[in-house]
Amino acid sequence: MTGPHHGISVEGAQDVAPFLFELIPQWPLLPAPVIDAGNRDASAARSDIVVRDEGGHWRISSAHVTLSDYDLDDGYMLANTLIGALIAAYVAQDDGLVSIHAGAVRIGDGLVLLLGDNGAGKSTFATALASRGQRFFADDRLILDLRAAAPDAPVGYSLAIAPKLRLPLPQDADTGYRDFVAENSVMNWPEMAVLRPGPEQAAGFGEALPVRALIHLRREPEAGQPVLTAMRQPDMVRLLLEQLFAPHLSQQGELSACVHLAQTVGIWQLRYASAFTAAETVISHFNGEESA
Amino acid sequence: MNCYRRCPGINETPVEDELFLIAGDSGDIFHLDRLAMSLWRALEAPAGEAELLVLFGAAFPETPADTIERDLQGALATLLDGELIEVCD
Repeated sequence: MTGPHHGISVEGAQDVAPFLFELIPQWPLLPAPVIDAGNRDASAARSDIVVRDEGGHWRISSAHVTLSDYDLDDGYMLANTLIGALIAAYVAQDDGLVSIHAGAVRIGDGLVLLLGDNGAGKSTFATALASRGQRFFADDRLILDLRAAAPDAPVGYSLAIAPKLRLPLPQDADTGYRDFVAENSVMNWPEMAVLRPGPEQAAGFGEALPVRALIHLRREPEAGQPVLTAMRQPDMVRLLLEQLFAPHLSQQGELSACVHLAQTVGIWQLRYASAFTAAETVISHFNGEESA
Repeated sequence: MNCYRRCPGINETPVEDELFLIAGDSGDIFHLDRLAMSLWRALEAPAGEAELLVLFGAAFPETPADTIERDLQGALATLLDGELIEVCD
């Protein structure tokens, strides 16, 4: 697989390839060297990521991320975890790169990142914005270059990972959103759908834009109208420490990355009940801010 | 009463008016709330619990003494647990 500076070698993932390339269809592949059977163990030892079938249970090992607690016996889960290991190997090639657990959508001339715990609504929110014409970059994971040349702003890179949505869709989903999901679904389970928006709707692998804002999503069913308020830097740093993924950095490096992010882009908190109402608020705010 | 001092090798990162610390040995990152940050500042030089109680009593004259003592002990326990401070002789 392609990395920022050199290839990322993956051993033993043949059986999971169909799932993997549904989820990361654009991640460029590099030709792998031919390995004879006698050298297979030595080759695995040199690989960035090794997938093994241990008595019917799959395990992933990687020098860049600790996965030893996982016992992966589901093809989709295995592929999803393998993507996490690929991302760790990707950012490990460059001290300026980190991965962030966030949705990301282009609004105006930059990226708006959506942060929150699992269940905060990142995927729904990012795809709700996409269904309203904003360019989709990520629903869950994005690469950030904190040393990028863009003036005073980190740059976000899409890995073109397919967005995933829980089913059924929220009751308040509008017709436009339901149509967007139906038109772009490529895999469906009773409780989940995987989408693949087209190139006119979603960024391709490696497509980059400066980050202009971070939004902490606070989904509160009792909230009335969506409220977007400025956030304090220490609060955003605490949130980023939970959502930034940079196993190749020291703790000081990770903290510095979080502080740099919080200090160089707009930081916001959004309390909302409906992603579909709040999406309009966010588009209006950041498009209005751009023209102000 | 015990005397306390900062552990060596703690890195400080200020963010606005708050402070993040990284413990030297574990590498764990701590965010200090206002009381813990005041305590950390007060322990720039080693200090005893009685001395700290007087200091915090003067800083928060409207807070009952038993509340200050309870909060101070809580903050000391947090910093001790994080190996940010240690008991001195």
